[in-house]
Amino acid sequence: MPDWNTRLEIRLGSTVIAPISQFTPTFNAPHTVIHSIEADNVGFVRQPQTFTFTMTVQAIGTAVADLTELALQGQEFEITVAEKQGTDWAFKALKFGRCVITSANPSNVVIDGAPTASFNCMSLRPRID
Amino acid sequence: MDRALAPVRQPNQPVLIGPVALLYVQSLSLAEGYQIERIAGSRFAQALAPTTKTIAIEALLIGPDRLRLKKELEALALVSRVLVAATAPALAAAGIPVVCGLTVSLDMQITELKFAQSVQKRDALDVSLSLRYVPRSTLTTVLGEVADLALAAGTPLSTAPRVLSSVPRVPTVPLPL
Repeated sequence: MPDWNTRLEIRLGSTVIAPISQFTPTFNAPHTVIHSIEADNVGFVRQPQTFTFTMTVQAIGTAVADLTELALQGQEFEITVAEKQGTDWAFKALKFGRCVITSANPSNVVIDGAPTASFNCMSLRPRID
Repeated sequence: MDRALAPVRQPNQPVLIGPVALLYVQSLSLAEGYQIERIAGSRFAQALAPTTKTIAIEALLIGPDRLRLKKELEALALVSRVLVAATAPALAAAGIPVVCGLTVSLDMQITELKFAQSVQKRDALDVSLSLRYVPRSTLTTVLGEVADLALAAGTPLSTAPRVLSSVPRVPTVPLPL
């Protein structure tokens, strides 16, 4: 049973996004159950898949400014999650290609600590290594 | 203890349209009746003739053989003149039987067939078809009525027929209002 002794890093293109406090990828693969007039649960139909992720970053480095600008300009970018140290992670890397930010919360100012920024993104081409 | 979570239901009986079995029928509606016309300027109404029976079916074709089913339905619907020419002798004798939990109707013909492929349903086709009753011989009409009655009585179709209700298929005397 391996201990978790691994550091992950998230890169926007080639720059590291830091300090990041949360990164939540979601692979949405909906299927609808089909009933017939004679019986229940007789089959299913696949629906289009969507890939989204949410990240929460402390608004300290330049990465937040870059991401906010990408959000405003609607530009595509690439995000990679990979192991920086250690090998305990189940994956080698998660790569999200052709990403666009669908909603940005650039700087949530609070009384304690650094302001946080959160970004909701979607990706057209996710890849698992 | 090993218990199935889903409630126990009947197996999925297909809706048979001739030789084509539709397993994923979403809705099936049957329209029938008798045409009544008011006689102008009098208090009588005339019962004219039975309304043509129509059946509308909405179904899904899913799975790898959906395009084969589509072709079979198209063949039944006679979408090309070649098909009509090839099957004309058989068509004179019998139509398409529709056998399902709601009705047994012989001598139907497909009048409209619509297929739809949509972004919301991958690897699936929506099909909607309308069938219309086109009577052939008295024999098939009687057989159809017997089968439909047997269905209503809850008996298997193979057992001996019950009492047949004869439905008049000719205009009757005016009904007093």
